[in-house]
Amino acid sequence: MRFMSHRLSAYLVLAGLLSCAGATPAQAAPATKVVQVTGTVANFCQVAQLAPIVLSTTVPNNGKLDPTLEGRSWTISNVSCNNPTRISVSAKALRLNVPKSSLTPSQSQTINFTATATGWAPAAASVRTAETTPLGTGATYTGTGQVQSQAKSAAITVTVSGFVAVTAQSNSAAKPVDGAYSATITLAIVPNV
Amino acid sequence: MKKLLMAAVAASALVATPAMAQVSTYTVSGSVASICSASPTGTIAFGSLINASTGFLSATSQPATADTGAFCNGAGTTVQVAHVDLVNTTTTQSGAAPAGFTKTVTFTPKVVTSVGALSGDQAALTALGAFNGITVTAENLSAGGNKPLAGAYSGSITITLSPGV
Repeated sequence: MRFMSHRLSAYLVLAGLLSCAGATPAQAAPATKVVQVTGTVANFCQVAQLAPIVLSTTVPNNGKLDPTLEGRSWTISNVSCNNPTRISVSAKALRLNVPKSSLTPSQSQTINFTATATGWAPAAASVRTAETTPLGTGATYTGTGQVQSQAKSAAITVTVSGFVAVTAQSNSAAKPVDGAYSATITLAIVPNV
Repeated sequence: MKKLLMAAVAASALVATPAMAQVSTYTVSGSVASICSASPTGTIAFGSLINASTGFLSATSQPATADTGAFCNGAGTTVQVAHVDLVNTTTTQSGAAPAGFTKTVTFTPKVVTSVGALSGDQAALTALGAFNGITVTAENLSAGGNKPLAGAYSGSITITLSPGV
């Protein structure tokens, strides 16, 4: 009987311990979850004026080029790129709209000039057309590009200068034939990667 | 005859003094530890963050990562939430971004469980309770009115679930 009593007490103590354990269950360590958040932004340039700049003039029958062409400029506003870029300028020589197939030695229908773009890269980007014959070829010339190493939003100014009629070596005094002339100037801004 | 009488007396004595009743009580008990479980990782991928026509932030979708197996079994569960904004990790731009641009896209972390939602960082232990399943989103993306610089962006949301009874 005494033995039974001791055994019962032991059960009760054990039950008590279990009861206490149930009241304060063990707590595991915190669970940590790390969620990676990702996104991408592609190279992007916004240029308000995408079409080439057209330089037009009319040469009168005295063969004198309009002096106001020198220094004429165009402003392209709201140019914005979110990455480093390279800007380059391309141009075709000022040339008679309806080119003649032959000219006298005193005539020219091709006028070289320089187009310069400023306001974007630290150094101006420019190109000089390099036609070599009075007839001209209508070729497009592209200047060395300039790097803008940062993203940028700005206006770009394009200025033309240095108009010189292309003459034959035999007649350096040749003048442009009269008529309507035009040239195109194109800006290119591309990611510099 | 004598033997029979003795047996009868003995039997009578047993009936007259029955054994005392013994009552034993067995307590059945167990315990359930307070625990939390969640997949340790997840990903929220926005893809392209900008409008291809304007260059400004445009991430209109709200991608989320759902962890349906996550749970905490304690009513006293608490949670902490911290986040790191999206930062351009590949740009060659050193220093601060030029005017009008930014290297950082901010966002608000949001944690949704079966018992409620929490928006924003929770630096202090915040009562959450027992729950099943967790969904994490990044909301309210902002570039501060600037254009994000080109490149890959990375950020994070860290959720710490602390068990509690």
